[in-house]
Amino acid sequence: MKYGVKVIVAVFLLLLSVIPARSDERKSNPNSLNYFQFVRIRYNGFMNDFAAGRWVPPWMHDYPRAERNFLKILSEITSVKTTPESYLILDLHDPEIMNYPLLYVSEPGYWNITDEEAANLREYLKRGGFVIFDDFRGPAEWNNLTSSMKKVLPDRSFQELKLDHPVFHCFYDIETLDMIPPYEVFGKPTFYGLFDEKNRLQVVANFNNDIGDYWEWSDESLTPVKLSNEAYKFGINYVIYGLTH
Amino acid sequence: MEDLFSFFFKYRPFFFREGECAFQWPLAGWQIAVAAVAIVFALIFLYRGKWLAVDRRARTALLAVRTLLLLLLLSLLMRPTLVLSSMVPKENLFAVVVDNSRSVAIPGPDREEVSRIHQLVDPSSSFSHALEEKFYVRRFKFDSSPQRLENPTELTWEGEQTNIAAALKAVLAETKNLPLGGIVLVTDGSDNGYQDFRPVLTELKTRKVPVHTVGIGPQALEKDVELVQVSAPRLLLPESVAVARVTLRHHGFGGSRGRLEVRDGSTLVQTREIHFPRDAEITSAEVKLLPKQEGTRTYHFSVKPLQGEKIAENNTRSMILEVKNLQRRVLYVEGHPRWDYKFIRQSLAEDKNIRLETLLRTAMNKFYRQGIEDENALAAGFPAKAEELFQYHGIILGNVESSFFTFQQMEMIRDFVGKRGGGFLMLGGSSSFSSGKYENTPIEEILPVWLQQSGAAARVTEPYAEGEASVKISEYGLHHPALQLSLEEKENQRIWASLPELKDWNIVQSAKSGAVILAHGTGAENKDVPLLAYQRYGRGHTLAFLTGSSWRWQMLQDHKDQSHETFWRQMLRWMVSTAKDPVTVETERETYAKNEAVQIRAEINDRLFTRVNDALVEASVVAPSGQEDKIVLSWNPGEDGIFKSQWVPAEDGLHQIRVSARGDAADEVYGTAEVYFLVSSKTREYFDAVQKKDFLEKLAQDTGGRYYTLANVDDLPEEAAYNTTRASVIEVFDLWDMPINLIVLLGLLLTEWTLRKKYGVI
Repeated sequence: MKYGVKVIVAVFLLLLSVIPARSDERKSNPNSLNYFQFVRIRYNGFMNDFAAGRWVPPWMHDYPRAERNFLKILSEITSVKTTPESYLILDLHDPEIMNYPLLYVSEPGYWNITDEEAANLREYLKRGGFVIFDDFRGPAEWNNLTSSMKKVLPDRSFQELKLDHPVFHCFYDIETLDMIPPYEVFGKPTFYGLFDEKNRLQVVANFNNDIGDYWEWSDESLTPVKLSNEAYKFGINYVIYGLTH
Repeated sequence: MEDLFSFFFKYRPFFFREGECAFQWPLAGWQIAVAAVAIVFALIFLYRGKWLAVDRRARTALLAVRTLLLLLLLSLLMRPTLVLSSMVPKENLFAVVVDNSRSVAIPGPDREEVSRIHQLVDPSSSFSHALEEKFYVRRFKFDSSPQRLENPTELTWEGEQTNIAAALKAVLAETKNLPLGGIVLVTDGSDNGYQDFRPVLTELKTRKVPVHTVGIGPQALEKDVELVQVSAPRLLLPESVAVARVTLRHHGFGGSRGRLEVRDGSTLVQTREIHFPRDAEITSAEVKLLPKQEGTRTYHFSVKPLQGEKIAENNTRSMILEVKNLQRRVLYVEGHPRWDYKFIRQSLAEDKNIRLETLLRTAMNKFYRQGIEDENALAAGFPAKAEELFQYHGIILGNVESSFFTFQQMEMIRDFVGKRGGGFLMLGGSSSFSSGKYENTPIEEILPVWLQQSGAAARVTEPYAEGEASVKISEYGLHHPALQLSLEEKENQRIWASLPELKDWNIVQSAKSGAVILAHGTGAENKDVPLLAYQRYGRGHTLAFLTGSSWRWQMLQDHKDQSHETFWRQMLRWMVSTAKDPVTVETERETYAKNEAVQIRAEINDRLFTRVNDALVEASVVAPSGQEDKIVLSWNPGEDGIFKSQWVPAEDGLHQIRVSARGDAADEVYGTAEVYFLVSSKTREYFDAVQKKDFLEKLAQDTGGRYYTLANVDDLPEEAAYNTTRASVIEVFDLWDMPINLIVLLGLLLTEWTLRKKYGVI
């Protein structure tokens, strides 16, 4: 065989090897509905990111490392079908959120809720959706979340979740709610929940806490492994609870 | 016509039909034949002589006429007769049994008919005289049972049942040791005694007692609508849809419309327009009932009487529906936490009738149990013993692969359906059906679909697909109780058509031949794939729901929309509908008349649903007045686990039967069961109140009797006498002197004379 032909054959074979089969491509689509999708909500609101020295949208804090790391752990530990790439961002007013019955909202302390967002979220929750609020602290941010949620569900109020609630035992048996936050906050981390008229938990809020931050930095040595581990436990329990209740 | 026949042949056709022809000449048959042949040859020889100067054609004609003449004379000389067996006068008993039920008076016999019927039982009538010349006559009237009849005025036609078998049986019993020459049964034949005729027929044939039937009443009503039947399940979970099929018959209302009303007790719950076809007497309609409260409910179905309709009483029928919270337990095994799991659970969360107990694999060898009452239930995973599994009434396998189960567990699931009668449902997903490698397992055996075989080469297409598929409900599915999202048919169709698209589906080889496809999924290529199918398997039934994205019907529709919840509640209720308790009891029908035997049938199983034959089965029947009768049911040999008895109600209204079954040991209790039945006697006779001529003809024919009408019943006394009994003689009737013989003889002579004149040989 001539050298030129050999090169052509070699290049052809090389190309074949890198073109994935069609079915494999479909199967590996991380945004397939067959996989659990981690949906981060994009909402109306800004804050100053002092560390970066610029204005950044608060909803994207810890994105995307938090979800990538969390989904990796979720797929490894549990039998939830997902991949580390199965995450996406949706606007809160987008009807598309109905396709994803679990939402993650970061920094709700800066959420400047619109009527459209309130209406969409209200309908979402009434249909059976589940929402996690994370990464907020202090009375001002708490007041912002509670007043925002009053626009969504006027007749509902946050209640503190106790350790005996099933959300803390549906996968891991979490032993204590005395969690150490990843950085200094203005109070004790507390877990709150919003319940519907049938006393079903629809919303969890990690007040004075930032478990997303633990997830984000869990592959670095910024926080102790044990604490990151606890943050994963909460996250996994939230997802399992959302998928089962 | 019969008179003309009698004029020529001397006797009525009956004698020729019943009698045997014979010659009374004392010669043997061969001697007669020789004589006939001799006459023929002698004539041929004679007519060949030259004395007869005619051509050959004329000669043959003359020979033929003369031969016929002589042969006829020979046959008359041999004294032809009819031989009949006749009962000896006053040596046999004869029973005249007249129907005294209400149906005879519908639409009402005219005066002439009443008078004719009275004559049949009036001792002073010519009919009775004729009969009494030959028999000792006993007269009876009957409705649900027979009674002796002394006076024609006792016929009131108010009896609430027609029980012909009971009447004949009683007459046979009363004349057991007497020579019974026959029975005259005067009736419209509209029997509603539901009694087995076979023993009575056997006895009639054995004793050679002919039943002569006299049909009375019209064979069809001119203008009538009748509600023939209402069929519906007798037991239902609250808030489940029961589909009641109403069958109607009409005469003379083709092309008209009627209005069907359904009442729950006295409350009108539904109305429906009925169209009576021009080309058929029978039509049917489906009515969906949704009882919300527990209890024994009586539904009344009625068609408003149409203008000119003669009988209004047969426009109404009632049925009993026992609405009961049976606390059915369904075991749902899910291999992966997913949205369908959440939303199916959510839709059943407030259903008090179905307890969904779930076993969710949240990680390798880690399970999350929900809906369990006993802390130890499912603690070791999927049940390993049949005793544990058979406590459930339904099983759902979600997105879980076949290797999750041992082969024995899969066999147990198969027996759960086939033997225990449980319901089974497999949900779609990337790890179920072919994708879960269920082919060639006991699970595939029970599924209503054939799975694609393992190995890419053997597969026609990918066993699991993602995309967008709309739901297309089949014609059968539209009427299936599990798929009623609205009681209104068009609205139900609209809701199904408007449901959000599904995002995934499993592709199977095909539905099994015994399966029914309730819904298809239609993808982008417009290709239909089975989406929901079911089939019977043994004592239970199995379902395949080939998608895992029905949760979208909840999340993508307004929160007020109840389609998803309704679908799953109805689906699971229907799924467990075949799962019986170890002890069950039922009656043959749900409505009886007073004094009619209620057949009670109980089935007794042990905890493993093996039928038990040596149980002690007791029943108590509680009448509406509170009167309670206790009876013992006995094992019916030949039917494993089946115990039977009967009980006769004495009052109208709703009755309850409670059955308990236990073994020899004091602690061996199999269980209890109850059932309700209605005793209603008032309107029964108005249904099917026309003369059943076919039945009456068959009854007469099978017993050696004849069918008569009121027009020719006067022939009966004479004809009934000719029958072979223990007290009968042979009667011979001469035929040589029939007028027809003389006419034929004269005719032949005249013919010969005419021919001779024509040929000039006179």
